[in-house]
Amino acid sequence: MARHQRAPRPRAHWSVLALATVALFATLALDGFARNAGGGTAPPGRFGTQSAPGYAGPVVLPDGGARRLPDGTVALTFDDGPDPLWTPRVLDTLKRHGVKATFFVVGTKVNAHPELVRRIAAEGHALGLHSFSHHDLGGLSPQRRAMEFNLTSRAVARATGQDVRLFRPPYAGTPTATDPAPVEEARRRGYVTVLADLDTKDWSRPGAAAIAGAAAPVGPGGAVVLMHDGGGDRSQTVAALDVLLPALAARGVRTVTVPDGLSDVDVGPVPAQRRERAQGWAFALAQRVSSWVAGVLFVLLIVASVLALARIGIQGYSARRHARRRRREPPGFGTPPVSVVVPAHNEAANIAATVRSLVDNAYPGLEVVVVDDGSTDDTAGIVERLDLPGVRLLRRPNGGKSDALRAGVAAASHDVLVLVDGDTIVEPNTIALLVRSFDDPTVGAVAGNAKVANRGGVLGRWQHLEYVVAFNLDRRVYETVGCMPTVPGALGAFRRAALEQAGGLSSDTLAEDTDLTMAVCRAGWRVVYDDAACAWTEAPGTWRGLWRQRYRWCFGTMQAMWKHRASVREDGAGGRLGRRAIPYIVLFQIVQPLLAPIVDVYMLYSLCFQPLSWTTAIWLVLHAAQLAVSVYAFRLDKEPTGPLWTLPLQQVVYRQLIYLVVLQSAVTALVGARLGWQTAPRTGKAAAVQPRQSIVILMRRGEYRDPRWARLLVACGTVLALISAAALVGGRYLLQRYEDSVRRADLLGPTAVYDRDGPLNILLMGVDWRRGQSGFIRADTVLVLHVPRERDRAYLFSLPRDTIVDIPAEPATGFVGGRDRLNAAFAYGAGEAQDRARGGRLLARAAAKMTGLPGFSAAALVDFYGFTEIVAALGGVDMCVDAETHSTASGVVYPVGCQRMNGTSALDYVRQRKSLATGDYARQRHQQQLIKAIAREARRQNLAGDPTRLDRIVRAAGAALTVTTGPVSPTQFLFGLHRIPPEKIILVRTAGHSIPHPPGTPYLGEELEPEAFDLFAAVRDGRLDDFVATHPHLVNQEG
Amino acid sequence: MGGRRKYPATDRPVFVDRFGRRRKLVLAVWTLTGVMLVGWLAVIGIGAGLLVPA
Repeated sequence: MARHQRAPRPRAHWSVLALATVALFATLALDGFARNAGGGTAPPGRFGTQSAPGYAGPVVLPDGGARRLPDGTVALTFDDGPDPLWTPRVLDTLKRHGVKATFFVVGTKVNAHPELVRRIAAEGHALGLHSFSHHDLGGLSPQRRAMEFNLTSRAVARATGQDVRLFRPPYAGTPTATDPAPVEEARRRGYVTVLADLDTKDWSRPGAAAIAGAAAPVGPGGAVVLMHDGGGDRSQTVAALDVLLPALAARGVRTVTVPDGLSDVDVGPVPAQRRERAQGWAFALAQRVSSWVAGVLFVLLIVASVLALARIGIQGYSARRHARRRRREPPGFGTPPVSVVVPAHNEAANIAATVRSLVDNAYPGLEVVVVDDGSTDDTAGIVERLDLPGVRLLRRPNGGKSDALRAGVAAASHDVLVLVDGDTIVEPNTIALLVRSFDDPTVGAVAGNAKVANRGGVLGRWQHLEYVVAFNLDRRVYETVGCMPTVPGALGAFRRAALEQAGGLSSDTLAEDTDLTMAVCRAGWRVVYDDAACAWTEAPGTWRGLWRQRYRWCFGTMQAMWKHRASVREDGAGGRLGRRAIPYIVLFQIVQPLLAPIVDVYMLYSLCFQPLSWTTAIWLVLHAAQLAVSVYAFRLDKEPTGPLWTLPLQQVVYRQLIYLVVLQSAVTALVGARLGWQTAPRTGKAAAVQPRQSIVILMRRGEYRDPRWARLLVACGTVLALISAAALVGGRYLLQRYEDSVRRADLLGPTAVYDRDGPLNILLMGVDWRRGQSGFIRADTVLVLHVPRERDRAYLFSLPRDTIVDIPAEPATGFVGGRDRLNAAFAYGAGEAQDRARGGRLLARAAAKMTGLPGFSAAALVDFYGFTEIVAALGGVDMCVDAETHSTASGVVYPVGCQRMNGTSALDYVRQRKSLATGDYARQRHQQQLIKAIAREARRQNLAGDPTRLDRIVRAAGAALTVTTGPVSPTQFLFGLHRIPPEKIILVRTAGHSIPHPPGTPYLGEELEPEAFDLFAAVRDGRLDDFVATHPHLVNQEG
Repeated sequence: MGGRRKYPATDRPVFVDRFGRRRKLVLAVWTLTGVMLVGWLAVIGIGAGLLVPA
């Protein structure tokens, strides 16, 4: 025996593991934080932004003062960069035109592309901060907001060595459409906040000409222009610069940076402190490495998932083949003389039952040799007192299991040897079933089916699952591929010749059963598995005992694999062992368990920072596959499937223990520390097991029945968890489907005003457009839905389409401005190109000017075709006709009274005016009634509770609608209005009349009456409730 | 099998090698790994502003 230096068991790796776990979580958290960066069209975290009426200009100084740029100057500003694709193109274009601009950069992107930031500074442009992760700063905690400022500042300091003083919050706009919270925070920190006079909304990609048009100041005053060089496709922005810059130059407008435009205020950068640069360097490095680590983890997740699915697939396929082969090839029965060797050390609790169960097999000529390995309890005495026929006792000094087995084999008389552990109970026909395979002269060993006897409690149940699913399925795999690496020490049969050729039992490893079986394989013998030959063994009943047992098994298996590593190069049976079984063990019993925690870590990371759908899907697929193969394994073993209710928990909790065991074993193997046998207290539970035919008795006794409340609880919990996961995934999918089905465009332009807590004014436009129609599109219908701040009621009033109003210019279409009917504004804006977004923007500007409203919170545009689709999707609406109406288009007469209208008839009805006494005002009333009828129908059908119907209607509506909902999604916006019942939508008439004209002369349009302007003033001042109360004659009755 | 027994010879290391030298090597690896991990956490801490560099 070689002398070894005794050394303590390795423990340092646990400290390193704990440290590595902390470092991994910190790294992933950092990556999640950095990856959450948005930009461009990414919505903020909350609804809307507050108005900030206090800022008199777009440049807010630290002392609270606000400044404007001098007349004749324009400062071009670019947000959301640096972008590796678009920022260089913007810089190239600016350089070509000899123009300097101001770039507000996002911290995560600065860290990713510091060279671009250096180029911006080197080419003379100004730099400003635009937050670190492009979150809506107003909605963040003060600590998080501070982090956003600090990290961005350090990132820029690291990249350029400068401490910049300019700042622009994400989602900022004009001074009246910006959340003041981040602006005030910036002021306190000494930053100069730069908002915008002109918001081009280039992120919505309205076209290069539109961007250039929106960027050009109308009057002589100076302007700060908001554009983007990152956060999406900025090709139109780049193209717009080539249109805009020459136009500005031709007008004599000076294009400057913000600091140059404020020449009397020092807002230039200062050299950064060394400490700040160091911190910036550290975080940039951390950001890069964390991104790499997350990428590696993702790859490992895929590998682990593939391994898990591969193992499940291999097990399922092999088990099926093994079961069919067994059915097709029933082994012949033979009864060769058999010697059973039972090594025992301190097995007083179980030895009597073990020996009796062997004798009860009534196998002819059975010899039982019990080898007492120096027991200190009464094991030997119990065997002697049993005095059973055919049972011999061999007393030996304690020398270990291998030594005891060697002695027992030497003392045994017969050539067929069955090795059974001292705490294992066999069934009455186990011996016969075990040895029947020896009818095949090529078989050298047979593995029996060891089952867990002590299944009570969670630990026993989990081990029972493991034995049935993992161990027994793996044995079927091994036999199918012709290389069984382990005959369990609890129950196995060997030919004496195979033992001798294998060199007998060895003390080289702690897993002597694996070592022996591998040697038998390499000697050229077949090793098979008989699942019918069952025995019941006592599994560890404590976590400590389980840990020790698995540690020994895992370490011993590593020892055996290393010992037999030469089999990789062998031919025949040895080669099959080395090139099939050993790689299978390495891959699925060492590598896969070590990767398992990575799956769990990545799941946690994904839950926190990534969309749920695909990670949940992977988790569900893996566990569904595991459940399926587990059920199959239980059926093959003819086991009741009841214990499978603990499978989900076992996958999460038990797997961590096995992972730690494998890790400890691997470290121990590498380090070269010592590992010995440990104690495992016996409880005698195996002795309580009756043979298989009494398993029903056991079940009736309740030993195999878990409490019903526990099973129901876990079953319900599992079902609820699955339903919740499915609902979550399905809900997100549906929401995304709804979002994707609605067209979004900028219909409001500079009239967009988003007020999170104030009243809403929503502009509704219906256009006269049919499929295939060319030419100019007019707005047939213009309404405003006013929602007070309480969000529990709404007022709907029309803007008469023929009202003569001032319409601003639209350079993109060549319209120079002027007075015309309101509905013409849409036509002038859309032009022959039928750009409906541009038409909506011009109509919105005209409507804002007409009503004196500061702007609109949202807008929706629907065309004739789309309108009929919406009503058709609802299945029609109920309308009450208040005056007989003759349709000039269809000839249909709509009698007075309530009736059901489909999409076509509803559209036809609300378009009529000529046959109505009050003409267009009656038509406006009918249009308002129809909108309310649609809302009523939607509520009546309870669409919120019928996802499939809602999906159909939303998709029909989405296809027909174009919406602007500001920084929030359409679904979020609608959710904000869900408390308004249809009956609380009040229809209000806009007072007006035809402009007087002599008979026979052309119609001159409409003009509004003073009450209409009072209505608009009441909307503006938030006192529409009082106005309606004092002007009841203006309330339109419902149809 | 169960009960207490003396350590048998089956507890030899898997990869038999010279003693002393292997143990020192392993210790060096753990120490280096630990130092790198602590250093990495320090980098994250400095970058996040939780730790202030000198």
